Amino acid sequence: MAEIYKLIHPVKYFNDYISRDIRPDGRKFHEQRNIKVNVNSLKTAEASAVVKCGNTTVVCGVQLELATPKAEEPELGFLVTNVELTPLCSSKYRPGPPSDNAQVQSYMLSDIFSNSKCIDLKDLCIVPDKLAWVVYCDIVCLDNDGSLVDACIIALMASLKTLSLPTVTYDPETEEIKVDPDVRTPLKVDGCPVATSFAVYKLTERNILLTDPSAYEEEMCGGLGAHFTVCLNKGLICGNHKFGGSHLLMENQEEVLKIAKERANLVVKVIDSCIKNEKSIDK
Amino acid sequence: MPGPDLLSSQGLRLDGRRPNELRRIKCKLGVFTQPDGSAYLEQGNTKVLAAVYGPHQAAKSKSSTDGVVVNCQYSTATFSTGERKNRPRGDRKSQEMSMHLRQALTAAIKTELYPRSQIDIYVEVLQADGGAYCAGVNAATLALIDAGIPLRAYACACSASMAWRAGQPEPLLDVGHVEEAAGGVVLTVAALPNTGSIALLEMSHRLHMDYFDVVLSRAMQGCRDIEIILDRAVRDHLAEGWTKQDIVTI
Repeated sequence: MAEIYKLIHPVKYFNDYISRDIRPDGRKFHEQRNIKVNVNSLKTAEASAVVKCGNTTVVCGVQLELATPKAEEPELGFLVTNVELTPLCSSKYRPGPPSDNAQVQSYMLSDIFSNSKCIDLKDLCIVPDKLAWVVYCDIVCLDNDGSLVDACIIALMASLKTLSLPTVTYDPETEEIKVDPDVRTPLKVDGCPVATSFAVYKLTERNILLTDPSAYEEEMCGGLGAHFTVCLNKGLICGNHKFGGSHLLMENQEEVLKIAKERANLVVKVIDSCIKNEKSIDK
Repeated sequence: MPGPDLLSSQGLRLDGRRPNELRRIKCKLGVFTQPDGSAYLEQGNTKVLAAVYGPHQAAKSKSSTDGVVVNCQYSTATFSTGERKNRPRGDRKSQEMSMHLRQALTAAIKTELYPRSQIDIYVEVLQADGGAYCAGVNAATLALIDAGIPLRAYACACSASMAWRAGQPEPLLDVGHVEEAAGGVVLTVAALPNTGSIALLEMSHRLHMDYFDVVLSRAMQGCRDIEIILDRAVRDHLAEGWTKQDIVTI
């Protein structure tokens, strides 16, 4: 019965829940979904992580390549992030070139990541002007059930925290490159940016914020990707996005920051304990 | 014409398997919520995901009154191989694989039941360690079953190769990446073992005619073995599903 009601009166159905201070999936307004992290599950990648936030599932694989640094920035290496929204993850995506939404998500992720300054690109340089690492971080979304950026950033940070770079020796005279994959140095990661998404729902006279929205809630609040995302790295804001959808009020800001801060602490704990578990199994 | 050394003097293969042994297959149905049917399958170190959407109304240009249009996309994640792939899909190899996938699965689906409709099957290879196509077919079959689409029989795919041991031919089942790279012959068969029919057959490198039958029968035996594994997975999944539903109704 409820399914039919949802189809015929989608807005009223959603309103009925919200006006009774509960969300359709049974969560409270500021309750988040469970986060599950698993690192190093793929053997072909240098580092990898699988992250599940509720039903949203993403896989991040990191691979390394060597390249010559850009002439304008001879001391910097490269870190390339890419998000792929395959048609596998939702019926909304069609096969073919990446959709506008996918490109925006991908751009937003790399923007947040470079703003957070958690990786110093100078660490990726081996010999200035001659040789540097290219770190390719490819994120594949397997199931998109809302708050995609949150999950992507967790996957990205979990895999980067486990990444270690092989030692490279470069002979300037013969230009010979030797890579020793057995001697590795872990990549320096400064802090850990954590994104938190909120959907803004306008219920007559009242603005309601839903933390960690699902795909259905995102759609009810103005379409996919119209949610408000805050990203914190060690208490500093490194990304703040709100594209379209319902309007956001000034008074919500404080509340949002408080929740984002709590979530950031929680996620850092989850990632750290996951990596610690993985290491203890390896031993 | 003895090929590269694929068997040890004890008759074991490079990864320690016996010649007629499959790699371990782990599979799970209904892993995701968004698609109508989904499945995850691990065959040794090859890890594959399949999702099925449909049957739904076909795009006008594709629509056919004879039966359902099966639309397949095979893509490999950029991090699935040791060296990074630049194009996860749309290159020749994946297009060829998408086509082969469609051919094998169309043979299994009762297409005549859904005229003017379309079924989308997406296969994503997360880690490739040889036999990714075979794993893709097996995963897609499970995903189709999870979606509740009527099939004639299980479509199973398996590969076989050829090695010599003390001058005697010895076919190898379920070829891994190392054996593939060693340059031996690889025969890929997609079959409906239940009906005994072969939906797709592809062979790389060359093989003497006299030995073809031996290799083919070994590959078919592999398909039959895989069918048993898939069937058990489906039954386990359904048994689980029924108990869950019972709890809800009570």
